[in-house]
Amino acid sequence: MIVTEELFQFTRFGEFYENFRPLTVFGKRFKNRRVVYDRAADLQEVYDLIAKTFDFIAEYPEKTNQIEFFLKRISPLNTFEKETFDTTDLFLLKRFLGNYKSISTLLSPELKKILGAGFELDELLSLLSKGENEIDTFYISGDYNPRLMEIRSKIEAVDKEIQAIRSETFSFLQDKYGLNFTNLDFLVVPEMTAFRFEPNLIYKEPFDNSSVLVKPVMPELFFKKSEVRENLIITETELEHEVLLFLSAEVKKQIAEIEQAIDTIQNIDVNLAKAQMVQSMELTSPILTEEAVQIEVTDGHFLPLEKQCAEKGLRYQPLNATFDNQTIVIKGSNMGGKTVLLQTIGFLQLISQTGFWVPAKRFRSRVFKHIQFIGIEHKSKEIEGLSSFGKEVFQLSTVLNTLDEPVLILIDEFARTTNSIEAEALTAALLETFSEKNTVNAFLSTHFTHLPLSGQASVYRMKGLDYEAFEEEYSRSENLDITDRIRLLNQHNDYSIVKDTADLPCYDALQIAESLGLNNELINRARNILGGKNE
Amino acid sequence: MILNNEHIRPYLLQNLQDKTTFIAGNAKNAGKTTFLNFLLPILRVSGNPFVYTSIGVDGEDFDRITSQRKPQIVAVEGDFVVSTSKSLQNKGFQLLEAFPFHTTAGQIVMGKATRQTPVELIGPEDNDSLASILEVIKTKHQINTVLIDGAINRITQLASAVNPVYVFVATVDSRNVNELMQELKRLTVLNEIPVWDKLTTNAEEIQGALTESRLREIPVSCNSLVISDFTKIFLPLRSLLNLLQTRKISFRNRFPMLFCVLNLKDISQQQCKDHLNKIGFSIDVLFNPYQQIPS
Repeated sequence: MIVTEELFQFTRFGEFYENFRPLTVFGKRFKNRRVVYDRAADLQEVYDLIAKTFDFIAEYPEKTNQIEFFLKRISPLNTFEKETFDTTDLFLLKRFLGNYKSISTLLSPELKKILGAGFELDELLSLLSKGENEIDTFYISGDYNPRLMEIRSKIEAVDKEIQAIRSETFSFLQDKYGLNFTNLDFLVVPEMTAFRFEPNLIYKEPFDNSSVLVKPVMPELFFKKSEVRENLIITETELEHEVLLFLSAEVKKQIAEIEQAIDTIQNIDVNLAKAQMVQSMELTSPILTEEAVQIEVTDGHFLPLEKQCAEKGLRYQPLNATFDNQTIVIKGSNMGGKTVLLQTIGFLQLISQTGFWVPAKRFRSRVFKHIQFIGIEHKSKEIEGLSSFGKEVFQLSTVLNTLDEPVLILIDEFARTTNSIEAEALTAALLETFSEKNTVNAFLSTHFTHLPLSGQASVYRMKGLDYEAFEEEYSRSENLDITDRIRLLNQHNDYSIVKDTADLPCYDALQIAESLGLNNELINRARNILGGKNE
Repeated sequence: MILNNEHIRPYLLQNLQDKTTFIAGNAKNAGKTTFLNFLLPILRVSGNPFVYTSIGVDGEDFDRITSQRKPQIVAVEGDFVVSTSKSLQNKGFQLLEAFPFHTTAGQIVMGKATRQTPVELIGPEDNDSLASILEVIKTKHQINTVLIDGAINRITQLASAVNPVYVFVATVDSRNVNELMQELKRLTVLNEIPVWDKLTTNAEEIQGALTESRLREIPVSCNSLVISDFTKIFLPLRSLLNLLQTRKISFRNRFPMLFCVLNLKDISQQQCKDHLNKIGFSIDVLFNPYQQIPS
């Protein structure tokens, strides 16, 4: 399957994709893979799941919030490819299972069945939760091994004894010397006060010229008890290790089920995020077939441009088109929206094939194996250093290799930088080639006025500028800067598409240039030259 | 204000509560960990939860106050600690969080001590990780008081993330007193620089560090500069004072010094106070927190 990076850039796909916000690391990994589907059945399954999830969100907003809460609490798991899991590995697994279980209980029976989210790792979760029922904590409890419990009791007892010895010693030193070591490892005292400290009770060392640093000398029993504690800790560590070995073996028995659970959580997360987009961005399910179709768009929104227009206070006009052919030529004025039409088609197709619903009332297309773009904006490394025409020829060679499989080809003003006579011939040959293939849906925008079309391609035209209305308002306005002029053009431009049955040439470059404020003298000279030619 | 041992406990409880406090020092072995050990029992008494950690592996081999090997930190039952999985392993810690950050000493985790146990603090090695960890501690675990044992040169880039304060710990002796006073004067000057008021000031924002060479590149016409926080200013005192006389400086994020801990060696408290008065040091000072006069 070929979907080039340039196509993603041309269609500004990333600006749509940033609204897709899975909550777990697994969902985010899925997002980073940017999966493009190439089978209609797979896509239909994805669209249906979004529909079911959307219905669930609408019916159970409270449960949805809770599911999102538990999804957010899931952390990435550590690798399973190790001999023995440590406490952190098990903590993460326990948290994952605990949250998964909570999510599973919140899903509707229908969604649970479709997603395969019936929680079947209860035994493992119980095992990891021994003596520690909280989902979000892990501790090698004494419940795993009676001997461990016994050793811990001994540690607790010896800790108490050590603490008692410390308290007794500190209390004795407080009474004897007025030194309070509670919570302090050492004290700094004036040297002149230290002469009376007996070396078997207070350890002294120089601090500076006038002070000494003192520490309590702990009784022998303290060290004996500390040694006992050390030995108990060694035994505890060994017993904890045994528990880790046991738990690791138990986890390894169910690695396949855990991996399945990870996939399920990813699926829940991804679908919830997609369904939330349906709600917030008013999307509808696209219709994608395996068979060849003529593309239909009703009220299709190229969201990145729509947003940009809104920010600049410009009007945005959605796309409505039912094409009557698989090979389409788009003509129209400069700034009339030809490139945007290609972007809109590519945008809707790409988000459909990445498994999202689309911002259109209706979008009907087919599933393509390849989605190709030819235009001089192409910036791939392989074609660095080539001329604009050279780049297009390079891209065209790649495209021609894909014509035997379903392919959508978007071509923005092919050969615009070479001589027009040969360019027109080449473009016509290209259209003829495309139209002979039932596998190809091609959209080609052009300014060429004399394309020798063989009839298999349909020609459409952007309606363009309403000159009279524009002129009227333009003549009433004063001191317009370039932004005002663009806004005025935008207001009076009709970006809808119509069938161009007459195949009329479109001569409006000078008028547009004039509207944008280009020097009048230059415009007039150009008009005179054109007039001379026409005569 | 001079803080004394009598008033230090209520002062610390009031001032460290609900803050992220870095314990920073003028030198590698200034006594930061020893001061952390001084703070821990005081905060425990409050009964409010708090977390302690470090930035990276503390490289101190010995403590300048005690001349001993690196001081040991002993967690007690109920303490929340952020360190590596290896350093909390087999120490009776209940795991509460595992962060997606790894150091050479293992994954960074947060644990709750189930008994008294010595613990080595090893925190994240980069600021972004620390900021992310602090965010989780505050939002998910609802713990708002955090103590971080860390050198001052490691705390850049954090101000915007956690709204922190810092305590400056230094050991003063007759050999370093002049140099230290210069540093304290510099920190006082930085502490008084206001936060940028977006509404009233039209200023040039400086990205990254402000060094002597960077300063020379800024046009003379630009008389108002905004800098991220004080840790981005790498100017000696003299240059800093010159800068403040010629330009209005403000910080995007305030990162104030809460107080200063001075451990005096071969220098009296009065001598040190005289030095501080001379430089106009206006921040609270705690002298010799470990000093006691036997009764």
